[in-house]
Amino acid sequence: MDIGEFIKNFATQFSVFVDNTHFRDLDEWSSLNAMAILNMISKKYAVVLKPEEMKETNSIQELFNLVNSKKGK
Amino acid sequence: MKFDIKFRAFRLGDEKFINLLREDEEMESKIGGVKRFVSLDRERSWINDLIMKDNNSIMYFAITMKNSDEMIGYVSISDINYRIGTCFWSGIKLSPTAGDGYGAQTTLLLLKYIFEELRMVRCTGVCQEENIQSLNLLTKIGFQKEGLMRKHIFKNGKYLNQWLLSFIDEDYVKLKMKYDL
Repeated sequence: MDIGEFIKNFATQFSVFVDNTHFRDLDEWSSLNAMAILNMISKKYAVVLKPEEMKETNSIQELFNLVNSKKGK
Repeated sequence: MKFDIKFRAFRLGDEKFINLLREDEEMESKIGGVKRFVSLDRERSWINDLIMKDNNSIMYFAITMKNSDEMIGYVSISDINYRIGTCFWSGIKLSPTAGDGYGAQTTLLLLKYIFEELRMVRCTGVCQEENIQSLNLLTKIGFQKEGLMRKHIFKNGKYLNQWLLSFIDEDYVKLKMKYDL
């Protein structure tokens, strides 16, 4: 798993991102994006995150770390 | 689409959760109504009335996880007019600890009920001009802005503008296909 590829997949929902982007602070952010990103993570990384788990993350790096920690479990 | 949440009827005992939600200052500041201090007794009496009295023009739903009956929020529709098929949706109240995406899931589930069960043709919504996240959710779902209602509410010590939005049955056909509702 690679952070660059992860950001690219995340970015399909928005415009430009870096690893420390706090996605909740983005003007475009909504609950619908959260739903889409959970779905993206499930499909592309075969990791099913609980919405409550995602809620604990704020930056793309934190979300990446969470997904990475669950990969292969 | 697979939902993690479900709706259930209000029941006695829900007053504790609802009363606690009133203490969430951030959420309270984003809704339209006047901030009120409500006793647990009055909350219980209100819930009892909702359960026992028939009122066809308003409906409340408790939001829970699919595998639990514990409330994580609630939502309502009002001004239901069965003759012309219109209703008003005033927003969602969710626990601040509720997971990501549950607002969107609630919206989809509610619209499914409004258009597939109640057979409405139009749902009106409102949203504070500065509540960007809520506006994003509504417009991405397919609500159309109909206009900005200037100084429509008085909240947090000032007059606020509110967006007037609508979602109609044609919008629901697209939404149903997109999310496989």
